[in-house]
Amino acid sequence: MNSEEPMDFKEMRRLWCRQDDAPDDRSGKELMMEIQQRGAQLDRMIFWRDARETVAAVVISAAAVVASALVPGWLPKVGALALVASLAYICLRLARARRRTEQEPQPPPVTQGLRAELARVEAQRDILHKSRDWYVVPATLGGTLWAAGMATSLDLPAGDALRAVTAVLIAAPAIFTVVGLAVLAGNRLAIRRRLDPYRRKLENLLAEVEG
Amino acid sequence: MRFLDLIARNRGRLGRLCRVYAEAPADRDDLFSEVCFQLWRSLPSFDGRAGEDTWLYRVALNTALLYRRRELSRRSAARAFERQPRTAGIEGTAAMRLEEHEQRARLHAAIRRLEAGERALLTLYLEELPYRRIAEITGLSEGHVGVKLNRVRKKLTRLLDGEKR
Repeated sequence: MNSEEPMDFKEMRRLWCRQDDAPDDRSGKELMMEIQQRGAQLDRMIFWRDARETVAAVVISAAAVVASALVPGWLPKVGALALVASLAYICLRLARARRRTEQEPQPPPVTQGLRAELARVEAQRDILHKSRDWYVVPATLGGTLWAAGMATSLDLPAGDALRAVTAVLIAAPAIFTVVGLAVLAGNRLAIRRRLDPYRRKLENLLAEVEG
Repeated sequence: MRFLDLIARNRGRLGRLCRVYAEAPADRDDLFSEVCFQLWRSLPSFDGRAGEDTWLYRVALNTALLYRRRELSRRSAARAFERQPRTAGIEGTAAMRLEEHEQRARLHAAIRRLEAGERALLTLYLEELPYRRIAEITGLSEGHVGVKLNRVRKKLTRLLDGEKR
């Protein structure tokens, strides 16, 4: 119950409620059009985010499977399977993270909403931080196995075959490691530039409301 | 229809809240549109348990607090510039309305100097909501709302005194 308050605040509330700054010249039709545009924008953003994440995986998987099918031997096929499995695992992790970070259906109280948003940001940071474990390592293992399998399928004399496989076992992890380090660096940059400032903003907001 | 009726009934309070979090007219329009969009998305899951006021303010505040200015199209910026709020256009206005307009401008200037979270509580208070309702909207206890508002009101008084000088 609001207890007696200074006169100036009572007057301030009356003054406040008398103002009318609503954007009053937009018709219902115009407003609905804007809402639908925003909805379409959001759908497009989600679509392209999903597409980016899966198209690369699908293209690489398809290329590995086709390449391994064209050469004899079981090892290239095992390697392709390992690569496809690692890419599928990556897509699954991303999909699970997305489900965890989807908006709650009911609008929560403000403090709960801020905490939920903070949890979403933490989950995203966690994913990006651990990308070495769930992205780089599986892709490196799968890719190396596939490349080694392709190397063993080459019709070479024994000594050359051994050298080829050795070269692949050295080169493939090295290439994937370089690519992986680039991915890690990109993730760390995203955390520093985007997620960390946003997290600080949320923490400050929570402190201001709860303080 | 139900949604548009809801917006029409609450246009004033949503407009006032948007003004607290977006100073420029174009940003205010953008925030208003974003709030309406979030209300639209949330409407199917509104089951009436919390009450319309509580639901509306929760969505609006959650949106306003996390609002980030977008790159607006020239068209929307021009439209916002052309629109004159009803409180503007003081030519020929009685002395009382002029004074009221100036008081309101000072009040807004002081509110802008509060932190975003403090503005949320103050806005709900200025909207003449009881502490119980403010507690439901913010997730704070009623006692905590009282303590926080006391602090924010003192800060606002100091800022208004500073504005007067």
